[in-house]
Amino acid sequence: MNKNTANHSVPANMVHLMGMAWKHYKIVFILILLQMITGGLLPLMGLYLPVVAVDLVLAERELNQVLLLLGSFVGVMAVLQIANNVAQRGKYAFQNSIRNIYMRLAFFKSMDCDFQLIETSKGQNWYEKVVDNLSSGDWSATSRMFNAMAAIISSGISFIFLISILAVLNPVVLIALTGLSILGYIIDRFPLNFENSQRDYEADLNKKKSYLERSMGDIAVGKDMRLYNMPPLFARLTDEILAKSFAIRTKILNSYFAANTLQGMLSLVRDGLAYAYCIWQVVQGNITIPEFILFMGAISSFSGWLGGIVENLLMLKRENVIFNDLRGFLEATNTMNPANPLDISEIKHPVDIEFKNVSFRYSPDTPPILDGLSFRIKANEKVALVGVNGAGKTTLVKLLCGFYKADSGEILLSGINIDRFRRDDLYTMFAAVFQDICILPLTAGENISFNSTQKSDKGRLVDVLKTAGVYEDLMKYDSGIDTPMTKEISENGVVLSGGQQQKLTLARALYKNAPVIILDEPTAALDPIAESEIYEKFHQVTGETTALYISHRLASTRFCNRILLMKDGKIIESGTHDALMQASGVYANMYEIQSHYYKDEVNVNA
Amino acid sequence: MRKDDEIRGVRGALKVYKMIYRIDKLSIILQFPIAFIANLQPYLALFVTGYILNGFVTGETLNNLLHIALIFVGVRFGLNVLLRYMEKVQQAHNDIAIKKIYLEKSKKYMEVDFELLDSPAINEIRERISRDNQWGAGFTNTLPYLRWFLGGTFGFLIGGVMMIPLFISSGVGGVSIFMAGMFAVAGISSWVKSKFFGQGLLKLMQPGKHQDKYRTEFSNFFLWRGNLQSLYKTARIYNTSPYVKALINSETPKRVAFAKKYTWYQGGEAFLSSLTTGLFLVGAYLFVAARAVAGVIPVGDIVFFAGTIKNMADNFFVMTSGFTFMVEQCDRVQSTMEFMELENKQYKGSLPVEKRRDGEYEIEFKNVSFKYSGSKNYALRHFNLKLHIGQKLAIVGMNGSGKTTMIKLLTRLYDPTEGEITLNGIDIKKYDYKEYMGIFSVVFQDFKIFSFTLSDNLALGRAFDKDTANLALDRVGLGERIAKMSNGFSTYMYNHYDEGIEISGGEGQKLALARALYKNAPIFVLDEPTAALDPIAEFEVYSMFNEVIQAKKENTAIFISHRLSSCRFCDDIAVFHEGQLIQRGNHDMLLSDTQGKYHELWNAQAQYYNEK
Repeated sequence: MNKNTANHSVPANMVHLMGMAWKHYKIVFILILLQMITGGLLPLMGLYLPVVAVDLVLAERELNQVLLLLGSFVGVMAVLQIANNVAQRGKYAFQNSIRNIYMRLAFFKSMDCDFQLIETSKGQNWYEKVVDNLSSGDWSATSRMFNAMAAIISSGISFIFLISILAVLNPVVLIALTGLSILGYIIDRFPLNFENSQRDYEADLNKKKSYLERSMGDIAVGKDMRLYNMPPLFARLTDEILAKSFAIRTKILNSYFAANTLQGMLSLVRDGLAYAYCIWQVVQGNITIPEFILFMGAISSFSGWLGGIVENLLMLKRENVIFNDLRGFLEATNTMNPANPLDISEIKHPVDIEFKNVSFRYSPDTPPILDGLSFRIKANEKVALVGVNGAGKTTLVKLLCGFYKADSGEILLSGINIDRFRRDDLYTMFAAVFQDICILPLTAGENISFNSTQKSDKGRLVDVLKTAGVYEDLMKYDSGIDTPMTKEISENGVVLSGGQQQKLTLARALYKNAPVIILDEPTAALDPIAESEIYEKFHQVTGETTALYISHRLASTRFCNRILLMKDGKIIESGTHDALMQASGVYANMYEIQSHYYKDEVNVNA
Repeated sequence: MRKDDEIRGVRGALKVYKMIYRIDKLSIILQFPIAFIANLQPYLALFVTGYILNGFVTGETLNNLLHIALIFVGVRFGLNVLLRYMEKVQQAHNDIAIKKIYLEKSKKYMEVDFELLDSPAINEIRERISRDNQWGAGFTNTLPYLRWFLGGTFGFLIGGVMMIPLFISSGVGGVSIFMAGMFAVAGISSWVKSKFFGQGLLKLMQPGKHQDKYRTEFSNFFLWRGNLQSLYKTARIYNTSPYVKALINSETPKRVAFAKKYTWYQGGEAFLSSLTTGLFLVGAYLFVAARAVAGVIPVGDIVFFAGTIKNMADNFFVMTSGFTFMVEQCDRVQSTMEFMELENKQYKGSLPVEKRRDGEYEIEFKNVSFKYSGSKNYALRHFNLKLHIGQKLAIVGMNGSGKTTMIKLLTRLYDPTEGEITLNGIDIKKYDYKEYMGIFSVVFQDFKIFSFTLSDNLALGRAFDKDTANLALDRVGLGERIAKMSNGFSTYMYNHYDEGIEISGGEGQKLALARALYKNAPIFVLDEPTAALDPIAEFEVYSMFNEVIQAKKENTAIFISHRLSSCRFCDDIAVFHEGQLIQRGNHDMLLSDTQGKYHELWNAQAQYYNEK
C-alpha cells in the first residue's frame, strides 16, 4: 500500500511547478519572473524616492535639472510598477488553468489507479483532501506556492540591499534590529502554536457544522424533516456548534491580540531608539538630512520585510506538505499489475471460474470477510449467490473482478491465476451490474457504450435497451437514446426512476458482451412485474456467458443452474434449488421464510 | 443565467449589508473606526517625518525634536493597540456572522414548503447559487470587500484634509488646478478602465455567458467533487476513462479562450490603474519639488505632501476598485438572498386537530388529481379513497402508479392540484400544519438515520423519554443491541458527526421504525421499508410491524410494498394503477378476480414460490 504523501523538498516542488508552467502555459512562467524582478526593485526605489527628492532640493539645483532627474527616477519607478502589476494580475487566469490541469490529473488518476487506492476510506480521504485543496482557488497549495515563491524571491532581492544600507549606518543597529526581529518572531509563535493546537478542535466543529448544513439541505430528508418536526433539533445542535466556534475563535484571537500588543511594545522601543539615535546623529552633523530619511525608512522597513520573508517561507513549507499529498497521489504506483503479464487471450472462452481457498480481510485489524472460500463455476454455468447481508457476497465480486488481491488462495479464470494479467486486461472479461448505480451526466446511449453515439453500434444500443426493458421509457423523450441523463449539468437532463436506472445499467452490461456477467441485486428497485420480466429474460440476457447472480429474492435463483449459499465468508451449501430444499439446510429455511405469505394456504396470524 | 428581476448594484449591496447587520451588528459597525484609524496612521507618520526634517533645516533644538518623535511613537502605539483590539472583536464577529448566514440558509430548507423544496423553481435558484459561488467565496468575501472600500474612502478623505495646509501655504489657485487636473486624470482613467476592461471582466465572469448550455460544466462535475464512489467500479469494468478524458480535454480550447480574455481584461485593468498611479506619483513629486525649489514650502513638506498625494491616489483606486468588487460580490450573493427570502405559498390553517376521540378519525380523498410541477402527466387522477381509524390498508401497484404520491398528499407534503382531502370531513388544509403533521408516524423508503446520538435520532427534537424509547427499541428488536452500547442513549450513530458506532442497513431500518413508534402517532405509514434487506431481516420487519399494528386497535396503518407477500396480513388492500385506485378488498377477494391487476402482480411473484 502506498503511503499517503510524497517526499519532495520545497525547491524540488518549486521547480516542478515552474516546469508545469513552462510546459503548459509559458506566459505564467514569464510573468512570474517579471513579477519577481520588478517586485524586488520597487520597494528599494520607494525607500530612495523621498531621499532623492529632498537631496535634489537641498543641493539647490536648477529647477529644470531637479525636474529632469527626479522625473526620470519616478518615471522608472512608475514603469516598474506597471510591469509588476500587469504581471501579478495578468498571470491569474493561466495560473488557475495550471491548477485545473492538476485537478484533471488527479481525477484521471482516480479512474486509472489501483481500485483499492481509491475505494478504501484511507484512499478516499486522500483523494478528497487533494480535491478539496485544489478546488479552493486562491487558497489552494498550487496558487499559494506560486505566490509565496514570487514573493520570497522579490523580497529576498530587496532585503539584501536593505541589509547593506543598514550595515553602512551602523552594524550595531543591524544586529539590534535582527535581535528585535527574532524576539518578535518568537512572540508571534505563541498565538500561532495555540491556534495550531486548536486546529483539530476547530476542524471538528467545522465538520459538524457542514454535516448539519448538509443534512438540513438534503432534499431526501425534507419529508421526515417536516413530518417529525425536526427543526428544533437542528436549531439546538447548530446553536451548540456556533457557541463553541465563537468561544474558541475568541480565545485564539485574544492570544493574537496579546502577542500583537507585545509586538507593539517592541516597535515602540525600536522606533523610539531609532528616532532618538538618528535625530541625534543629524544634529551632531554625522549624517545628512537625506541620509536621515533613508535610515529611518530602512529601520522601519526592516522587521516588516524580514517578517514577510519568514511568513512566506513558512507558508511554502506548509503548502509544500499539502502539495506533496497531491504529488504523492499522482505518483502512486499501480501495484496490482504483474511484472510479466500474460496476454488476456490466454484465457479460454467460455470462461470457467474457480476460487481456491481464498481468504481476505480489508485491513489487518478487522475480521476476515472471506475465509478459505472455495468453489467453481463451470463455463457457461449460471450460478446464484445468496446469503444474508454481510455474508461476503459483494466482496467476493470485488476480488473476482480484480479490484482487490486475495490475502491467500487463488482465483482462476479458465485455470489461470488472475494475478498474472494486467488489471485493465482483466476488466475486459467482466460485465457487471453493481448495487450502487452509476449514471453519469452523459446521454443515455453514451452511458451504455461510453463512447459518442456516432462511434457506438446503434443497432446494438437499441437491442440491449429493449432487452433490459427501458427502451420504451427513453423513447418518450424527444431525444430518445440521446437524452441527457441527470440534471447535474444539463437543464434538459432526465432523472430516471430507480427501476429505470437499474435497467439502464443492465443494458450497459449487455452491450459490453463480456465472457463473464455479474449481476449484483439487479432487481431491488423493480416492481413485481418488471422483476418477473427480468427473470424471464434471464437466459436471453446471460446467453453464452458464465453468469453470477446475487439476489435477496430467492425466487430468482430458480433460473440458475446452481445455487451457492454463502455464510461468514464461506460457501456452506451448493446445489440446485430442489437439492438444497431437500437438504433442509440454511437455504431451505430462508426460502421458507420468504415464501411464507406467498403460499396458497397460509395462516395469517402465524 | 441571471434573472433580470434580481436586485443588483448598490441597492443589492445595501440589502446584503443590512442583512449582515441584522445578524451581527458589531461585524459591520466596527468596520468604520477600524478603517479610520488604520488609514490615519500613514499620514501621521508622514507628518512627523516632515516636521522633523523641517526642524533640522530651521535648527530646532534636539530636545524639541526628540519630544515630538517620542510623542508620535507613543501615540502610534496607543492607536495600534486600540486598532488591534477592535480588529480582533470584529474578526470574531465576522467569522460568526458568516457562519450564521450559511446556517440560516440551510435552515431555510427546513422551512420552505416541501413542494417548493423539490421544485424546478428551487432547482433553478440552487443552480444560480452554485454558479455564483464558483467565482468568489460568497458571503465570506462580502465583509472584507466592505472593509477594503471603507479603507480606501477614509484614506482618500483623510488625505484631502491633510492637503489643506498646502492650499493655504501655496495659494489655493495653483494647487487647486493641479489637484483638479490629477483627479480628472484619475476619474477618466477609472471610467476608461471600467468601460473597456471592468465591464468586460464582469461580463466574462457572469456565469453561463461564456459557455454552452449543455455540457457546460462537464469537467467541473467530475473534477470538483472528491467522491464519486459509484463511478470507480464502473470506470474500471467499463473502461470509461478514454471517453470521459476525451470529453474533459475537449473543453481545453474553451478554457484557454476564456483565460486569454480574462488575462486581457485583468492585464488591461492593471495596466491602466498602475499607469494612473504612476502619473500621480510623478506629478505629485514634481509639483511638490518645484514648489520647494521655488521656496514656497519647506523641504520637509516635500516628504509630507508628496507622500500625502501619493497616498490619496492609492486610496482613490482602492476606493473605486473596492466599490466595484464590493458591489460585484454582493451581486453574487443575491441568488442566495433570493433563496433565503422565498415565501411559502402553501395554505396553512389554524384549526386544532381533535385529540384522539378514539375511532373518530376518517380520511377521505375526494376526486383528487395531482401532477408534479413541471410535469405533463398526472401522478394521480380523479382519485377517491376512504379510510377509517383502526383500518390497516396495504397499497400495491407498479412503479409510477402513484402510491408514494398519495402518501405525500396525505401528509401535506404536496397539495392536490384538484379535489380535496378531508380529515373528519374538514379539508386538511384548514388544520394547523404542525398539529396535522403530528398525527402521522411515517417511515419512508429513503429514511435517514443521522449521525447524532441515539436519543436525538429517536426523539428528533421532542423531549426524550427513556421508557418510551426502550419500549420502541424492544419492539423493533434492537433492545439488546442498545443495552450493549457503552454510552447508552448518548451513543452516536456512524462517524460523520462524532465518534460513534457503525450500524448495518437492517439495523438502520429498524431504528427508523423505532422512531416512528417513539412518535406514537395515530396513523402509521410505511413506504417500502425492506428493499435493501435480506430475506431473514425482511421477515423480521414484517412480523414486527404486523405485531405493532395489531397491538393497538385504534392505530391506523398504511403500508406500501413491492413484496406482495407482506400485504397479506392487511385486511384491506388497495391496488393502484396509473394514478387511480382500480381495485380494493382483501387478498382472497382480489385474487379471485383473475382478470384483475392484483392477480397479475401477485402471480408475477408468487409463481416462483408455489410451484413444486
